[in-house]
Amino acid sequence: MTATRGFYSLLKQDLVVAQRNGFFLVVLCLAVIFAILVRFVIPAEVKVTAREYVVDLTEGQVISDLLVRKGLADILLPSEEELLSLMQEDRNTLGIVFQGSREKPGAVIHYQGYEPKKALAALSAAVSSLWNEAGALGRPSFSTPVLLRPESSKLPFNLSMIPLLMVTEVVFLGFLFVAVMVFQEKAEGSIRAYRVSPRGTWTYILSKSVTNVILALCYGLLIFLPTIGPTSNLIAVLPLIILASFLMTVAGLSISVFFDSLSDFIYAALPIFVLFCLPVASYFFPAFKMPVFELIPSYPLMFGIREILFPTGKAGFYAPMLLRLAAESAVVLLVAGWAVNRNLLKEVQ
Amino acid sequence: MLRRIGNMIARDLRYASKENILIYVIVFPIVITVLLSLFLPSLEDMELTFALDPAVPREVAEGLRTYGRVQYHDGLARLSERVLEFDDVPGIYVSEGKYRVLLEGNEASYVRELPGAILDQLLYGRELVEVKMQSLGVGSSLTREFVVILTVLGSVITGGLVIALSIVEDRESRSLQALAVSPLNTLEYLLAKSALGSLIAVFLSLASALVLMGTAINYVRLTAATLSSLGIGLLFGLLIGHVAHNQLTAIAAIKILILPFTGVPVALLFIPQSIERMFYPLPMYWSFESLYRVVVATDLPIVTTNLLSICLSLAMISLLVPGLRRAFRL
Repeated sequence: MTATRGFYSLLKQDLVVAQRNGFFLVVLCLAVIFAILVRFVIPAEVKVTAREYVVDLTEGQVISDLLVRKGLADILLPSEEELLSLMQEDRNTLGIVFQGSREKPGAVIHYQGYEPKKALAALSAAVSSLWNEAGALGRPSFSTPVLLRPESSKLPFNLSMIPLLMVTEVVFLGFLFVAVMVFQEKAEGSIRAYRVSPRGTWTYILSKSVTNVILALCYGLLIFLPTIGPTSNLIAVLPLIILASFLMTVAGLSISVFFDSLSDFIYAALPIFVLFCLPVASYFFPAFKMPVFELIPSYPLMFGIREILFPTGKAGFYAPMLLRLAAESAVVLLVAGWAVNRNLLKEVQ
Repeated sequence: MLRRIGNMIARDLRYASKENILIYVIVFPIVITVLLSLFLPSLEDMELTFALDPAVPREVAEGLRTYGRVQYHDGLARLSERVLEFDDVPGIYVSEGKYRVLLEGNEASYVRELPGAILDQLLYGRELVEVKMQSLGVGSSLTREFVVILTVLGSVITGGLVIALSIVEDRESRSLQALAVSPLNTLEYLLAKSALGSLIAVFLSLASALVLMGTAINYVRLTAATLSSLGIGLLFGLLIGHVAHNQLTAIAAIKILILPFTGVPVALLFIPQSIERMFYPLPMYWSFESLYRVVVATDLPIVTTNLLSICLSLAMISLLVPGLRRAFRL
């Protein structure tokens, strides 16, 4: 009972400190900026992979007809010269010139020179396939696609940024803010007062963590509500944010106690932030994944939040993800307990 | 004046060395660059992964290796499990003598279409279309170049961070009040504070370019572009130094101000050229443009872009100076 009362009074104190130091105001400002960016600035259509352009010099313009039918008229260019000049201006482009006739189909792939050989081989296969379909060349299909669940529609680019913001901004917030709280207490000497109080290490850690989880929840909701509105899926996202934010807060606490000042810690936090953000590459290029991504909590989290907010029918990932976050949090919590006790609470004895 | 500035720089250097700040500020950004340099080759050589059932004939599997990476997963259940993971990996198995491409349903369009096209190409047995390849001779992708540009701009911001935290330290430790009774004036103080941050920014940008690009870059042009971008770091540092009275408010200010300073260059990677005009009044735009000309469009001059970056950042800093004078009272 006394421990609970001690926790609540410390939590209240931490929340007041967070409020007095403008943490809630910062969260509000950032959320407003991100909501504006997502709703009004970031376009719904952005192509992050290389852009392909096509010149159709075939007899009867069979390729153009097919591309127009597929709604891809915008990738057609009138001449090879125009294609080459566009490619020279923009290195993120590839060009295909279709030529010949149904009897003698041909194509030239103009590439920049840096593309991996395997990607060019795959493009060559796609070119043959397109010629086959457009010119009815008669090559049979040797495979049948089997979908494990219904095909989903493409998510607008601006909305696809929300799961990323949840992970890189909302969840990571606690990592930084908890360090700020620790260094302030060190500077003001209040950590000395805490040491002689009956509250222990775990009360200290839990109070800091809950404060930052509350901040993260406010931040998350302030981004969600003006961008996607109060959907029922939001309820399923909140436990993920709570656990992930808790994990990052205790991680921040475990690391920050090894540094003397915020100026030192902030530079050490940068590589951790970059590491945390590396899986973003997989988010934009889903065929790309490094094995190490599986170990970084942000990897499953950003895909999981996306699936919950914009469901495509994927099932069975939610409970394992919660369990994994809970297990990671438990391990990091133990580390935090040891680190705080050794470097923060013992130091002032 | 020069002596006063020199003394101030020496004092900051002593403090930074004593508190290990110099080590942290140099080592950690270089760690990031090394991390990126290890990560970039995988991103540049991005390839498809095919999850195969072991029943897929060996010659087909070998053929698929020409187009991507091959992994084996025993049985349809395991194959489905792999396909259902978060990344886009198509599965291939044989059923009733026919090849099946197993997809989750939410893959990117190219991941949905390519496996079928590749299998058709492999299994048809002869060339359907005569495809010729012509290279423009460009040696490297834009990914690496853009990472270099962002890293250099990140170095400039890191320099700004050093300036900001140093000013905040002076404000918090009341050193500013002690300096107020010395002959040092605000301009001298700001020049001294900027020196260390600027040196660090230049060092970090050259070091990161060296790690990421080696000798494939003109370092004279890079130094010129970095020097002309220093105003951005200075602006960032002074803005934080102005609004933050202690480390807590500094972090709050950093969290908000880092957005426009890093967001503009990142946005420039994605937005169409027609919208770029919106960013013309910002020095970040011209710094990005300068660095783009150093790293990518190497035949374009950088004098104008450098000058615009310097002038715009100086104009913005000059708007800040009266406020700083009032805040610092030197």
